[in-house]
Amino acid sequence: MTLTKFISLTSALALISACGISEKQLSDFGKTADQTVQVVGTASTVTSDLLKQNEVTRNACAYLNGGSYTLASTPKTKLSPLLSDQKAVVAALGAYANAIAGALDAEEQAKVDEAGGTLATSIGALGEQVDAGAETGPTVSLLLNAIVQIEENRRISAVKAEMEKVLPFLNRLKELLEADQARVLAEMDQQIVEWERHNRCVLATSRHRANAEATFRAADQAKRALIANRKQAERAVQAMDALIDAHFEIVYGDGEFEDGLETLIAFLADLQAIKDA
Amino acid sequence: MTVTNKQARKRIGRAISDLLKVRDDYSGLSAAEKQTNEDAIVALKSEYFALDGAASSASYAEITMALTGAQTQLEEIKDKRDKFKNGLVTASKILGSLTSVLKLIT
Repeated sequence: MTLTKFISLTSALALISACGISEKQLSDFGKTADQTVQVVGTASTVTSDLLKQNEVTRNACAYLNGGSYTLASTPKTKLSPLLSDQKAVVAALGAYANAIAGALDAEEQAKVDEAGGTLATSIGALGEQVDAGAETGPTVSLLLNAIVQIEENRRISAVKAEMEKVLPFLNRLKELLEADQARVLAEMDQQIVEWERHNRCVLATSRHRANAEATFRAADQAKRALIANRKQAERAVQAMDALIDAHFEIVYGDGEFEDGLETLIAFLADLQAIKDA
Repeated sequence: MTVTNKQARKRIGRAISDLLKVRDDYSGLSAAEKQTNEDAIVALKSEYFALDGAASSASYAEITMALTGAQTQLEEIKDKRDKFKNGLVTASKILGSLTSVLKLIT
C-alpha cells in the first residue's frame, strides 16, 4: 500500500468516525434527562408519598391523643387519575432515557472498538503464519476499523431515529403538563395542607415529651423539603423544554449519518484501488 | 422541487439545533440579539411540531405507549451492539486458536 493510499484511507476513517456523538453531548443529555424526569415527576411522586404519610400521621395524632387508631391502614384518598397518568408517563420517560444512555454508552462502544482491534491483530498473526503478504495486516486493520465505525454509525443513526420519533410526543407531554399544571398543583397543595394539619396535631401533643425538640426539628425539615418540592413541581414545563432542546441537539446536531455516506463510498473506492494495485 | 414534510422537518430541526448552539454561548450578543434568537427558536419549534400531527392530540397513556415502544427499540439497538462485540471476540478467539495450531504444524 502506498503512503498516499494509507493516508487517504485513514482520513476517510477519521471522517466516518466523526458521525458520532461526543461524550460531553452524551453526558449533558444524561444530566438533562435525569433532571427532567425528577422535576416532571415531583408532583405525582410527592403527592403519592404524602397520601401515605398523612394516613400514618393522622393515626399517630389519634394515638397520641388517646383516640382510636389503625396500624398499617391504607389511605382513604387515592391519587387522582390525572396524577396517576402523570406518574406512569414519568416512569416511561425515565425508562426511555435510561435506554438511550444504554444504547449510546461510550464505555461499551470502547469495548467494541477494542474487540475490533483484537480481531485485526489475530488476523494479522494468522496472515503472517500463512505468508499472506506485508500489506495484509494494515489493510485488514483498516477494514475492520471501518466495519466497526460503520456499525457504530448505524447504531447512532438508529438511536437518533427513535429520538426523532419521540420528539413530537415530548412536545405533546409538555402541552399536557402546562394545561394540567393548575389542577396538579392544587392536588399537591391539598395534601400539603393535610400534612401540616396532622403534623401540627402530633407536634401539639408531643410538646411536653422528652423528644419534643427533635420532633419539631424533623417536622420543620420536612416542611422545608415540601416547599422546595412544590417550587420544583412548578418547573415541569421548563424541564420538558430542556429535554426537548437536548433532543434537537442530539438528533440534528453535527455528524448525521447521511452526511457520512459520501465519505463511506469514497472509502470503499479506496479499498478497491488497493485491491487493484 | 417538492419538499416532503420529513425533509422540511429535518431542515427545521437542523436550524433549531444551530440556534440552540448559539444559545450555548450568548457572550458578546446584545439583549436584542439574544431575544431574536430565542424568538426564532420558539417560531421554528412551532413549525416543526406543526408538521407532525400524529402526536398533537395524544393522551398521557398514548405518550406512555410511545415512550415504552421507543425504549424497546433502543434496548434492541443495545442488544445488537452487544452481539456485534461478542461476534468480534469469538472470531478473535477462533483465529487465535487456528494460528496456534498452524504454528505447531508448520
